[in-house]
Amino acid sequence: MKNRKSKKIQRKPISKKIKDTIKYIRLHPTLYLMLIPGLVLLAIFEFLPYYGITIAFKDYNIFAADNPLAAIGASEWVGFANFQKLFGSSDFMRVLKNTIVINGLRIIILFPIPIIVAIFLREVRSKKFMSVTQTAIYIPYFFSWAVISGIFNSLLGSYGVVNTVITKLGFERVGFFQDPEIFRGVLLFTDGWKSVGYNVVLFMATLVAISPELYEAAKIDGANKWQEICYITLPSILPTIVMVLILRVGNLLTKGFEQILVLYNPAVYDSADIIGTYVYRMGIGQMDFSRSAALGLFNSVVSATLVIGTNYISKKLVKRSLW
Amino acid sequence: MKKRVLSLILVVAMAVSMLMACGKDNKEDDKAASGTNTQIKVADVKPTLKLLGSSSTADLNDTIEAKVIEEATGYTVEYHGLPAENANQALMLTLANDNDYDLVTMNQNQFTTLRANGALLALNDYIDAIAPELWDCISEDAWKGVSDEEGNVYALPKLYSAETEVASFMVVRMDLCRKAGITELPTTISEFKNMLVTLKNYYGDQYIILSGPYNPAKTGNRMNIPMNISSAFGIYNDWMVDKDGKVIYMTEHENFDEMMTFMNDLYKEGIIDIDYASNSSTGVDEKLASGKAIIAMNSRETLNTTFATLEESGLTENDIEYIGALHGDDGTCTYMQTAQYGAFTGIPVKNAKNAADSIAWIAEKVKNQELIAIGEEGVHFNWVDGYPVPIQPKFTDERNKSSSLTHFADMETYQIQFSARLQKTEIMWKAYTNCTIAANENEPEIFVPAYFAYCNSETYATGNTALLKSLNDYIALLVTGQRNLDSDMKTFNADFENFGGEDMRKELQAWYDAAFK
Amino acid sequence: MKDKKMKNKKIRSRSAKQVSFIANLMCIILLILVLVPVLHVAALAFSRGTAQLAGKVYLWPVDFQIEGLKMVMTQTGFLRSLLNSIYITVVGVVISLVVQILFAYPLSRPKLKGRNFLTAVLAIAMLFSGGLVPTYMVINGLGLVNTFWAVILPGAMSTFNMLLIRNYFEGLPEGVIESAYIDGAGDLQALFKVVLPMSTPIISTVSLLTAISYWNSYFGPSIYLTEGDKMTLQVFIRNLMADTQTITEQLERTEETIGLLSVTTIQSVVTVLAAVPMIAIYPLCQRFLKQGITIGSEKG
Repeated sequence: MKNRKSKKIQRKPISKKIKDTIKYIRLHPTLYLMLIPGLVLLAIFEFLPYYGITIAFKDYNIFAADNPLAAIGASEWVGFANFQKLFGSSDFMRVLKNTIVINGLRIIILFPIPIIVAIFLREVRSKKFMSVTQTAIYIPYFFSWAVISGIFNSLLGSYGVVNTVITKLGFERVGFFQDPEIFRGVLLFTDGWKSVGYNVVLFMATLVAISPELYEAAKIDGANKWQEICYITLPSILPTIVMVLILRVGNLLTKGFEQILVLYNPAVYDSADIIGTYVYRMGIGQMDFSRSAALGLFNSVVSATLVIGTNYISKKLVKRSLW
Repeated sequence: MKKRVLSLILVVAMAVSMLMACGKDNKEDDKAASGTNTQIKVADVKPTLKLLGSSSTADLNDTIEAKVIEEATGYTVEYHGLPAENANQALMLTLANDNDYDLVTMNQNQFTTLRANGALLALNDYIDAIAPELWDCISEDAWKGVSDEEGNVYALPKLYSAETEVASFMVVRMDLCRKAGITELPTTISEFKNMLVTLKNYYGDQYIILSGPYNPAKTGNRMNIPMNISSAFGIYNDWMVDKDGKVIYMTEHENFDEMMTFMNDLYKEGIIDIDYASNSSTGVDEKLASGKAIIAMNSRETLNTTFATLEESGLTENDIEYIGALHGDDGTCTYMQTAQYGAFTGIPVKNAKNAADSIAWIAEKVKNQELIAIGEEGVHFNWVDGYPVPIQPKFTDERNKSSSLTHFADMETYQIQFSARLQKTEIMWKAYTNCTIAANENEPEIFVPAYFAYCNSETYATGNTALLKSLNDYIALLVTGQRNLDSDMKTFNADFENFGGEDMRKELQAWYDAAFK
Repeated sequence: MKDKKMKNKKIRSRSAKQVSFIANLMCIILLILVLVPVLHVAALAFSRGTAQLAGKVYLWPVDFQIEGLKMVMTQTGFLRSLLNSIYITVVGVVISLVVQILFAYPLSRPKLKGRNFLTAVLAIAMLFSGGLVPTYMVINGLGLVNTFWAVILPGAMSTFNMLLIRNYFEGLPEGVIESAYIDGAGDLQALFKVVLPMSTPIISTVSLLTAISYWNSYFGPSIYLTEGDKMTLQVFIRNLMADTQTITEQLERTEETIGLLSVTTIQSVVTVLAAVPMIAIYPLCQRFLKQGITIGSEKG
């Protein structure tokens, strides 16, 4: 029914559409005025700087002219040379693969956890216990990776607490920071440790806003708790889930730079070196704005493709999309 | 003798080139200064100067040390710091735009890039007019590294506090060694290995016999192989010069394979810390302090805290000894001089209005160097055997931060003055005496000139950091056996090529040929 | 019939027990996993440096000291950078909320015309960034370098948070909003009198998220605020972390003070100091979340 209606609207002649729009704007001018502050900010701080994307295709020297802006014009075009420098090396495929695997695992394993935690937190009877837990798990988000690295080094290092217990029990030491595969586990665990509580915040607002009447109605219909969770709670937070998931997928190439930079070491480069850390290592001591611009553009393009793709899939599958 | 002749030639060359530089007034870099060229003088009313420095300078305002400088020089200076991360971007963007920083303190990468792009003011005329005595504060070689081909100087460099320091050494728990029957410290690499094996046989897995590597950002050691072990193999730096005067890289040295095999064998025998590839310097400190390690690669920076910890577990000063530069069995011992740049202070072209006063401020600081660096005799320090010994806690309370506030110094006196910082504790002084002073007195021939310390090649200054990181990673993995000399050398050589190693070699060779041949 | 009801009730109570058991168990596991390392850091912050180096500190301070706290807080930059960060966060949250709510409301109206255009604008803004240099030049051109606006304004229109708000608005009962319009309310009135009172949960959540992102932001402040008196807490903290040696050297004044602090204990102090303000505002946000339930149910 609804579908047919929308099709009809689409078939309307364009002039009619414009007329409708003008009529709507006349009726709700304030709605459009409300958009202005946001649009102005976006125009100034997002769209205006877009001309700088050209830096990715130049050999940009910030001192080439009187100021960095004029220097963009004064710098030489080099085509795709900056991209070639980035991706030309034999290591790049390995690094790309690592990036996708590690950040893919983050999505598969870590993304659902805060949702589950948020749903079950809501079911805790003692509200005090709930808020204490909620507050506690949110604390690690404010720890810098340098400090987290310190904590987990003393916990998981070869002579750390965990390995002392393991060796006392008569087992072999576990090389949490040396074994390429196990180290990926360390990355996932520390990321989860740091960010689960923060991500719970995202979902809590929608959860508490679910109308209690829905649950009352379900109770009368004889639904049990599990059914309530599946048929009321989950669908209510689905829009937020979809939105966060799509953006997470969009960050597939860029996530985890700071974490890995602090936690990794030469022994696990083979499995843990991601694009960000690799490019960082290659460029230490150099001030190459063009290189970072090229990397930024590459990441943006990939991320845009991923976001648009996931958005399309989710539109088809769950009738929900980002925009 | 040869060197003296050389420096004389250099002085003459520089004087000539300076005269020539003055004659040309179409030089871009002098744009800001042109017009004032004829009458450079300080302002009638001393202006407040704004200095942009590294992150640690941010917190120097309002310190006792800063006030001492203010009183001594008559200039009020605001200290601003670049962020610890993103410092390069922040600095480039700030200096490429109009800004009001009168002075800027840079590291080597930053300085080289800024100089190459004409962002810094040529200082020769200012120094000549305001404080010609500054020319005598550091060596000709050190000036050369901050000059262009015409002899224009673009920064006042602060040099490392000592020219010949054995900055890399190993701390030894003698109490544990004595139990295992070891009473004497090794001087050769074989003795060292015997010592390690004896300890391993005696203690088994109870202790980490040798922990490392140790190369925190600030110390003299930059390598993942301690320079006091590599000394026995004739290896003293990442870039070296062979017998024929050819520039070679560490991996090309004839003893590199032997050295790495030596280390890898120690690792395989369970003597070297299994965390060698993943250790942080703090981690090594913790292993030593918590009594998990018997011998640890170290340097003086954190020694005091580490020893305080050991002291609380019942150790005394006699239980700690140091191993300095080791000799090869054939007597080989090469240790590179620690002469190097610490920081560079220059004046941005875009804001040169207070250039004369900035130089005057630095000159005033040099005039009052002793007062600023170590204070007043009898109040902050006493002279003992030609070295200043601090009077605590006054010295630390009132002069601790002055080394961060030193931007340029008369090196001959500064080296002595700086040693006061090493006399704050006996344990630190003992390390300095046993390793550095002993080497300087008994075997000064081990010190190899730091050929490339003052090399002013942009390719080298900006490219070598990444290459060095790559070398260090390779070394760590060779030690732990995760890389193999036979099969992975090719990969490293490819990296060497990618990082511009060959280009650097060319520039370093040219530098060496010009400066040392 | 009655039997069936009884049976249902039984299943219901059994499932409720299961869920509540799992929920409690989950909380306990989470608490242990999170609190053990957190307490460890807190303990380190107040332990003697030598005790930390010796590996003696677990969950309770050993050789208690507050010298570290004192030293960090009396560093000349600390208080100023704390105030700067608070100022940026408070002003930033207020401005962001206004901008985002005003943007989200029209976008949530089902019949809004021009949605496709707005969608495209948002999508592009979200996915592409001009990069550091041109953004710096825009901010420099506006004369905002070394002013707090340089770090407040660029982040104020966060598309992500705005979409969170819009999602929430869309989930509100349309009937209530519709009837407000029928009663003669304008758009502003509908937003402020009807929609916002039902939206305390999302507003408190987005306030919190925005506050966190301003508080934690490092890149912008590090680039745009190079003058010492504009430094933010995060920049101050990372500077300190990179240079703990200055503090340990400061303690080499007497035999007793050497070893009072170590690199790790100073880092722990700094971590605690930076986290406390954000932890303190969380319960406040939670209170609003609870409030949201009642208001939402009354109106809904």
